[in-house]
Amino acid sequence: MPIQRLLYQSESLITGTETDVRDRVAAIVAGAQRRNERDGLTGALLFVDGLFVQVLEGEAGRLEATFERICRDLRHRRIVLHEFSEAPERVFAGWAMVAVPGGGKGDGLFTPAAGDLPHAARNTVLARAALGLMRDRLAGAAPNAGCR
Amino acid sequence: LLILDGDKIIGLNGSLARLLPNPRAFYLGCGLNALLPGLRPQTVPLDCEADWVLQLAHETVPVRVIAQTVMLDRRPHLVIAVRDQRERLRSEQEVRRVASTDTLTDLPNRARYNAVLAARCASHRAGDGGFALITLDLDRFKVVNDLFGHDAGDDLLQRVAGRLRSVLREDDFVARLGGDEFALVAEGLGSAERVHHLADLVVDLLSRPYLINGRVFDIGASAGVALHPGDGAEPDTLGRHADMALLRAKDDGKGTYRLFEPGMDARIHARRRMESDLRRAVQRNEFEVHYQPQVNTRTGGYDGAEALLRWRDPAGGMIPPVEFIPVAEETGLIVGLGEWVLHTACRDALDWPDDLRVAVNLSPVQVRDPKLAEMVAAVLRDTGLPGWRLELEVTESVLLQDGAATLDTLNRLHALGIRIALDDFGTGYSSLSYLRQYPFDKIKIDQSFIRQIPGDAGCAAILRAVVTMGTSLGMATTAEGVETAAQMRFITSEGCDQAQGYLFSRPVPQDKLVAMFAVAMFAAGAVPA
Repeated sequence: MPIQRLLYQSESLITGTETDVRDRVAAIVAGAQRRNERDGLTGALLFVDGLFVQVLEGEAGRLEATFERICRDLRHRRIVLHEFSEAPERVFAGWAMVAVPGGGKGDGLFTPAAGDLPHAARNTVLARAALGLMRDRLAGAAPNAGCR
Repeated sequence: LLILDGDKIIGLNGSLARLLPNPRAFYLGCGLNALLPGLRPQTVPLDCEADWVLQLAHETVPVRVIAQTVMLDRRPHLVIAVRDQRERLRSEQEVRRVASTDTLTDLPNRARYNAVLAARCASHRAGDGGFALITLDLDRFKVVNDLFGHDAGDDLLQRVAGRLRSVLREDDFVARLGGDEFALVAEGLGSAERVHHLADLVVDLLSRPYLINGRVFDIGASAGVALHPGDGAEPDTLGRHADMALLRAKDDGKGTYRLFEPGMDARIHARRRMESDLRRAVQRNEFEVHYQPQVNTRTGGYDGAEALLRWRDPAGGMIPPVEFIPVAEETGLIVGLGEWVLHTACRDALDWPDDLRVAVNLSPVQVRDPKLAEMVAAVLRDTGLPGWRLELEVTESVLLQDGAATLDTLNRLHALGIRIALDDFGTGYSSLSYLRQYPFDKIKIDQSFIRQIPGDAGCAAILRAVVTMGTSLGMATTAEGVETAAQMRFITSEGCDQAQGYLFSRPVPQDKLVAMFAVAMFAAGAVPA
């Protein structure tokens, strides 16, 4: 069944020591897992160099409501939506929300400068590249309770 | 109802008993104090209800009481009516809430905002840190309403309200003032840095994408900030200054915020004065139409003249069009003024040799008016000027507006036999591709290019390219701002059809123009009858 998928990036406003930041990002992922499981959403979150890149997929109404809650969140800013479209199937079907390991090749995609790409280019280039990268990083990782 | 014998309760009816926590028998024989503490039988009013409280086990109920003396067993007893007021008070509170709340977003409304702002201004003392007033306005909200309907617009406003609530801390206040206008009162920000941070945050928050029914809306917001008491101690002044800062933010390209500065006051005052002067000038008809002749490069004779609006203020000075035309466009006064110019020019042209054309400028605001073609047709009918003698000039910016509607308007004008000219070509968003799509008869090359020819090779090349393109598209070309004989020789040799500029004449009043035309005809041997 076709689902709706979105991908956005934003700048983190979380401050503190490296440990503090890691703990707070982990708490964000845990909170998202709980809510997404309830709402039938799946997705992944990459946190790299103070930038969030998140994919969310699921039923359109739930997805829109969740994104609106994300837009009320004061822990980040400069949200750029790279993709919001129908997709034939879920990419992160096994994960209600999962933290993608960062700090590898391809993370240069997610620099603030990438936000300056023209809108159309962002959609096709960045979103696809980001999605592929996040999926590859998760290859072999154990799924948590998500939607199949 | 409660029946007393002296101070003793001897009876209660069912509806009172239902309010009470204990069985009816519990109260019989008790003093009035047990139920209505502090109330003495002698002081219960007989003629109008009095507010009191009914004592239950651990709580009290607001009630109203009134008494009457009745004879029971030939002795007077006091019967007290006790009415529960909770329902009435609840509904009164609800009425107050509804009156001060915006029903769509559930935020406080403008009436409540006015009251809160006045109260905050009054309660703050000098030196206590003050508060910030931020007024907000969505940048492209109208588009959502117009293109996607009011349901989408309402949905969006509710989301905006939700986002604004997320920045509120204790004591902060946010209201919807109406339409897409909101205001935020933020307390105790202290430093300028925190004011900037909050304003930036609010603009960022409202500019984030909105996903509604599968669509993405990128709306954006602008904000103006005024600080109490520095930017205004009174609510009116403070609010006006926040609005000025907001206007400035919108002028500076939207999607941003500005803090009020005293200079804004003066600038906006000057602007307002221009606006009111302009309205007065329209009423008193302080305008004149002057004409600048257009010369045919092949024959050297006149082709016609361009009508130019002039404003002579009562003191006798001329106010430059660059100062008042933008204000006339923003206020919409240009629509009436433009019609007057057209009417005047068509009537004046009837006094010219009958093979000469009159060119009249159209503002983008006029072109946007769907009734423009009808208005022009009516002017031609009223004055009796044949359509082919009228030329309407539009600028490139017109083409950036709603393409289909603009094209339709221009086609309808063209169908009246009117010629359409593209004015100031080269200054705007010159795209050769659209030239083909629009019914242009003529391209007027902007004077900024003509000024630099023949010396500047680049400008000369552009002129040559435009003339060549015009020829291939069947459009005539006019050089604007021709001031020297060298320029005239160059544009003539390059095949430009027409020239206009100080070399021939400045813009002149109708009587002078008519005299010039007469001299030219005399020189050519064709004396008018």
